[in-house]
Amino acid sequence: MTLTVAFRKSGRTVAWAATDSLLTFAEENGVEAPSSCGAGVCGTCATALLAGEVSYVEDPLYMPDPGVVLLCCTTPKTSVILDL
Amino acid sequence: MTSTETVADKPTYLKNAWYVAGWDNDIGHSLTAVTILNESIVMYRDTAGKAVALENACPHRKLPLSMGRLKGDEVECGYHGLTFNQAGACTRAPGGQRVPKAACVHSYPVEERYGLIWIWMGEAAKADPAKIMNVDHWGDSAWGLNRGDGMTVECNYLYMTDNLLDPSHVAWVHQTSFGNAACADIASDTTIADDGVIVSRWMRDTEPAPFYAPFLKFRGNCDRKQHYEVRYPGHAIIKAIFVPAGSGGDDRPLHKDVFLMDSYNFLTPINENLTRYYWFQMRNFAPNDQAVSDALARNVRTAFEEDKVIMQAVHRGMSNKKGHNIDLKIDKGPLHFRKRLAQMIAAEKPSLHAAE
Repeated sequence: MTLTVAFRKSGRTVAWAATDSLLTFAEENGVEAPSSCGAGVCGTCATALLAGEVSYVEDPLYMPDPGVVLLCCTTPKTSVILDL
Repeated sequence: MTSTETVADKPTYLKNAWYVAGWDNDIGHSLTAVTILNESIVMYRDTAGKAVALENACPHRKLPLSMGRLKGDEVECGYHGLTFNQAGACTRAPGGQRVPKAACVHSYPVEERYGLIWIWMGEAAKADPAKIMNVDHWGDSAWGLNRGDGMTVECNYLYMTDNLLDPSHVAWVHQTSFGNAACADIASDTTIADDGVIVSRWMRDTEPAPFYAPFLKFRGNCDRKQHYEVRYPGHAIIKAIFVPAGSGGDDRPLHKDVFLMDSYNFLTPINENLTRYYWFQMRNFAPNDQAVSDALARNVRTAFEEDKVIMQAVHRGMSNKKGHNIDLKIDKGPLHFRKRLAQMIAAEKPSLHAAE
């Protein structure tokens, strides 16, 4: 089953291609995402997850609030809609 | 609020822990006042040579006992002569009055190990000397020791734990000693352990950094490992491994010409703005060569002075910042350390922190 990543603000939906994180995936697809540490410690890349589920590939320093994901250390578990 | 601020703005310390109070020769048969975790402490050696640490405030009008006199094994207050023994109990109250039962001062558990005096800052009943950090190869005749030194750094101790969990800084802070250009762009692995955090990396086929080059048994490029480990509450082991290029790796036996240096670093917060820093190094070569020990001691001191300049300016910069600060990838280990330490502090009995 192909997973898709939808970027709501950009109005784009792209088929997920395995990469290290949603942050890298967004950047590779030309979608601007805030970020700083890339290691789950600074929280800069916290983004609302509007639908779907993600997996954490790295334990973040602090888990974000429900409905928010850290792009730099997650990959999609199901198709997702991000508020980007 | 960033994660760096969460802890630094809350001046608390882990109390149930051993801290280094000084080198063994810092304390003699005289009264010495020290401040540790913002607590004023009077230290001395009794007539048997045993180090003693007492709360530095007479229970009458809180005059520092360090302003009084050492009388044999006991301390006499310089105001009205109340006298306290090594356990902190009042043994004499001049002026014809009974020794008041309430007259006692806290006596801190003290141990001596590795040439250092260790003090337990929390509940005395929990002071277990077995919890003092173990130093590998101590007393091993094949290993050399350069007994270290100490310095007071004008910064919160957590900026120093940040630094001691950050192998990357050597490329910019220590260009004439621990680092060189080879150290700039290599990512580290972070391991969160039960007793602390480890950040490490291998650098392959690089020129040896200037500090180490004169002591290597082999010529040419090296594989180098930096192992930066800090254990709670603030004791670091920085391990340097140098082997001939192509022979390094965690899954490979150490090359016969391996250079090993384990640097032990102990942070003792004086208060939230000052840290006392002690260190020594162990090495797997020239065990009895005093010239080597002296050279290493001198070079380490020089490099740590480079850290001191940065740490102090970082503390000032963060204390007076106008805009927010950011965290980088290299902050992962340091910030996990801060987070866990804050949790450990929060889990201690509130009464231990009442005075803060």
